[in-house]
Amino acid sequence: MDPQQREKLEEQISAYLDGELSEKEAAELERLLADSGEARQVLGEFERTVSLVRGLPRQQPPDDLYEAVTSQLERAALLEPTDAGAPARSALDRWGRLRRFASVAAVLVAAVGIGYLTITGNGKGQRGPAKQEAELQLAEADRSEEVGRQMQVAAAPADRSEADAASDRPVRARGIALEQSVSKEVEALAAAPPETATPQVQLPSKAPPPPARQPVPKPVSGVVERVASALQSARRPAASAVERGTKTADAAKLSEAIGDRVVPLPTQAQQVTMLVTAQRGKPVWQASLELSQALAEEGVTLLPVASSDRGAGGRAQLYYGAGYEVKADQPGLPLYRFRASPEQVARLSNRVASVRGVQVDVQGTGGETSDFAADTEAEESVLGRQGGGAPAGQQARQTVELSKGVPARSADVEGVALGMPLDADSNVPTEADEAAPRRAGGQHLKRRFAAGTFETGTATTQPAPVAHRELTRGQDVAGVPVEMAEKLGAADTQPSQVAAEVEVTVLIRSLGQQRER
Amino acid sequence: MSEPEASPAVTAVSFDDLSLVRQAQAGDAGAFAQLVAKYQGRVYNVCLRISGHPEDARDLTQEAFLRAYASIGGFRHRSSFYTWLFRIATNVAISHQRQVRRTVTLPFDPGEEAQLGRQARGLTQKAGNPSSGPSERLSRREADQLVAAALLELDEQHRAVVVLRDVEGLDYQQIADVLEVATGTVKSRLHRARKMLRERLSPLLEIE
Repeated sequence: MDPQQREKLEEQISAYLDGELSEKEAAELERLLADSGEARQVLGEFERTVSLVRGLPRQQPPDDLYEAVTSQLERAALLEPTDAGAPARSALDRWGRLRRFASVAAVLVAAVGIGYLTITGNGKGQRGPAKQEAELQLAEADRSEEVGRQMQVAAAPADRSEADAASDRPVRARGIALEQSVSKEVEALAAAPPETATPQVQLPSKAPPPPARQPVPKPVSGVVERVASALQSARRPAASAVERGTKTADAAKLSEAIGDRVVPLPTQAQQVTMLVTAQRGKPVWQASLELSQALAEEGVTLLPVASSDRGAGGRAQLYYGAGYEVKADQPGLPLYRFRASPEQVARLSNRVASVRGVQVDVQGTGGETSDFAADTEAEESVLGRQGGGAPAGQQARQTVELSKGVPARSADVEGVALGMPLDADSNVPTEADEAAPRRAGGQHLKRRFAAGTFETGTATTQPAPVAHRELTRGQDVAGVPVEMAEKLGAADTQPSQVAAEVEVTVLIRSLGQQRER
Repeated sequence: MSEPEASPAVTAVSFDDLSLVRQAQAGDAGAFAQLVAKYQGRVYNVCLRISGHPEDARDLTQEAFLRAYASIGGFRHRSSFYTWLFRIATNVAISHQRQVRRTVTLPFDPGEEAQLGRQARGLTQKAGNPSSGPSERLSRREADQLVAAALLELDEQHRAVVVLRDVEGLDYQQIADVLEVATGTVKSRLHRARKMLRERLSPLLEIE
């Protein structure tokens, strides 16, 4: 029997064992088996092989798996008001609905605020007109755009031409500020509006209850200004990186107060780090769920990070924020890795940034050329544009500097590899250094080494153990040799594809602060 | 009174799945939770045999269900729910394995892999030693370890097809639906995978 015949015979025998041959094919094979000892031997070997695999014991899933999954589902359901087909409904729709209620609520709040100010501040004779104005606004509450304009005129005169021009902008850039600034006031309304009824969540489990909804603060004086300012901000064109650096003081103050973020589009980068910084508690898991859903909707190719990268408790802890509580100057922990287009990254970032109490910073590294070490100015320029503003530019510069140097410590390696902004004093060993070997992405390292972007000879400290098979094979990390690339497999030395898609690492961290009440 | 004879399992499963999926699509997270309860064991075992690590399998199972829930509104019943669910789980697990393979991490204990390697070699030698007495022969558990290790040596595509067929018992058409390949591809991949397994497990086959 020649090799080709034997190959065909083996394939037929394999299918025969699965009962996947037609009657005719099976009959032919059985005749052959009756005549050929060699065929019977092959059958016996395949039969035993298959029986060994089929004999593998089934493992019981962990006891807490069901509870872990359903508790996440519970939160997802609570976050995702549903009606028919709702799980697939985009968060954009949800935000759209919220915006409508936010507009209504803004009017209500404004009316109360105006009335309050009128009563307490302007004395006699103003009470009646204020009430009439409030009633008029309430009657027009469904015309939210017009109402917003009235609010601007009434409480914080704005550049109407700017507002009008901005009205055609993509909806995503607008509204976030509005939602966030007035969200406290509208939370009670948005919680159970008629068309966003909270779904009946009756999970057959002992899933822990979701965190209690934050109490809704009563309107206070000054709320009118805040609402109007928010409306004004919401109508502003999407801030570019440059514009963000030259915001007016008021806008910057507002941004600081309400977390207004418009994440710039990362361009010309091979690797992108999306650092999600959330306040402890609800914002953390809200951000992660938002991202999880957005990823599913975008249909990106998800590359989950190893469970070991997520800490002892894995994702289960994430939704309570406990597992990702780190200091502000430390990097977050890897949550996702995936490949996506820059446009998708921007959409995803803005989705996550739309969650109240969550800040998103996007940085790209890798550039459109793999030898950016030879052209640091270009790299810095790229990174500076991505980061936006002076602080981001500073981060970018630091990143470039570190990229040029030898990764003396694995923490540096990790920071560079993941595109993390590192502080100027990052040479001071931190607790994160100990965990770094586990998180350092060998893939990134290899690409860097393969591209020859590290120079040798500038290491000053002893390296920490690095979780990299090749590197530990008699090599000194501090003296990372450029020739390391020769030792890597061809597949490993291929830099990631440029331009079409970037590799995104999502890092998440909780700053351990309760949300402002 | 005698119990009425149960209807064929497949029919019952399909009906239940259909109604549960529709409820879940209507926003009933509880219905989806029932689907989780029903399929968590199978999904977990698929993830376990593809990833090879219980911890990873746990995370991957969660990931698969969350992705399924997020996408269930778009499920159009063109295939059965569990085929669709297995597709998500398999994709998540395969993607994870590819990532793990690329990153080449030795995260936990530098000596762990070396130790595992020694164990596997020892077991293989033990299995292949014709002079071994009954007490020295491989226990069932040891044999399972070897089989699981051999499975992990296959690339993800071949591993997945073996897991779906020989661990989960899916037929070729179902596997083709899960992996979104032709049945002919399933057939040839299974053949190649079993051939590789046969070579790796030859010491075990000889003492069977």
